[in-house]
Amino acid sequence: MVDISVVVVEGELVMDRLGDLGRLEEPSLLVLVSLSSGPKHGYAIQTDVASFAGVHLGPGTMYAVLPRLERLGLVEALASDDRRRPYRLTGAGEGWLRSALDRQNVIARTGLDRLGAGR
Amino acid sequence: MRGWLVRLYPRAWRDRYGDEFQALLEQQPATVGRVADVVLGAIDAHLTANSLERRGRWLSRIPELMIAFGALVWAVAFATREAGTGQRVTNLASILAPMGEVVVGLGVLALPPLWIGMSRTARLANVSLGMAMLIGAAYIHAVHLVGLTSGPDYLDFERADVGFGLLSWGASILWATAMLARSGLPRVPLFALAVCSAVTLGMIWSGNFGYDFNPATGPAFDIPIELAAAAWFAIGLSLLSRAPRSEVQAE
Repeated sequence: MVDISVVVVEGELVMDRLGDLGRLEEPSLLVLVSLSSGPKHGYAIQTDVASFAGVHLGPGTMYAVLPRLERLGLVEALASDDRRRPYRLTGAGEGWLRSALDRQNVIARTGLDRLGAGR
Repeated sequence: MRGWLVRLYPRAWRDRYGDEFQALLEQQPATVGRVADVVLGAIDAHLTANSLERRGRWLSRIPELMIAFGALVWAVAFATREAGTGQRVTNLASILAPMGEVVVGLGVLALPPLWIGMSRTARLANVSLGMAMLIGAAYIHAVHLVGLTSGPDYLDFERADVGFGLLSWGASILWATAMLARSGLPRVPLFALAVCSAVTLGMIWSGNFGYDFNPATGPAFDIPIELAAAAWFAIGLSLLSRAPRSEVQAE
């Protein structure tokens, strides 16, 4: 549940809840994490996500997520000589991803601590 | 096969993402699961297509159009309030009433694809509410058709106010459903739609929706017309206020 961060593009509040992405919330987070290691095109994002999360993002899902993230200013497309266009995290995307992961980290640590304390 | 899949997407989407999307499809085998994923993605793209449009194209003018249409509906309802003859603005009736029928009928036909598309991207509460609204529209449609086929005492199809009512009410519901599929509506227009729906359903329940219509007591559809107009107003204003500047100002 990562829904409290604020995204500002060109000084304008465009999204205050990742929850507005509906059920694309988790795939969006996976794409952003993948792009955090550098620009990638769609297929490279798919293989990277599969390697670190064990999740295969279908092509329809991938291209439901990328236009939304691009529209929100979290990622941007780079110029490319071939048809495979790479994307990279923007400054806003990096800031948003960092706060979302911090929050998830707090939740994960809390849960693990409580599980440990219960044993 | 892959070209056919890409063509399922809206033209504006294909202009922007078509080449890279096809390149991605060509890098992996077309399994049943991937094809289904692409079909769902295409439905999603159609549901969210207008947010990719730029200001200046008519789709991005929808909020303003809704406000203008709400004003028109309200003005006609107000101007003809005193007529009370049951034959108000009859020169428009033959156009508006069938339009209302078509719009509500499209809502019924749109149920399966909307359900598939919404269940993929929207929150469960939005999906449920949107489906409830569309099922309500289907019910109104069915009642109206039963009224039309049950004899002259039920509903006068030539009435402009009935046409206005069906058109604006049905279109309000369809548009609200599309908005729900995208990101959810603010509470004010949802409240307006809920009031509009409740009054209309109440009129059906009490037998005033075309049933036992009495010209001497005036048209039974007056209140829903104005409520529908109010709903259009509220949704249009809401959409206008929610449009992100980064989209609105883009050229």
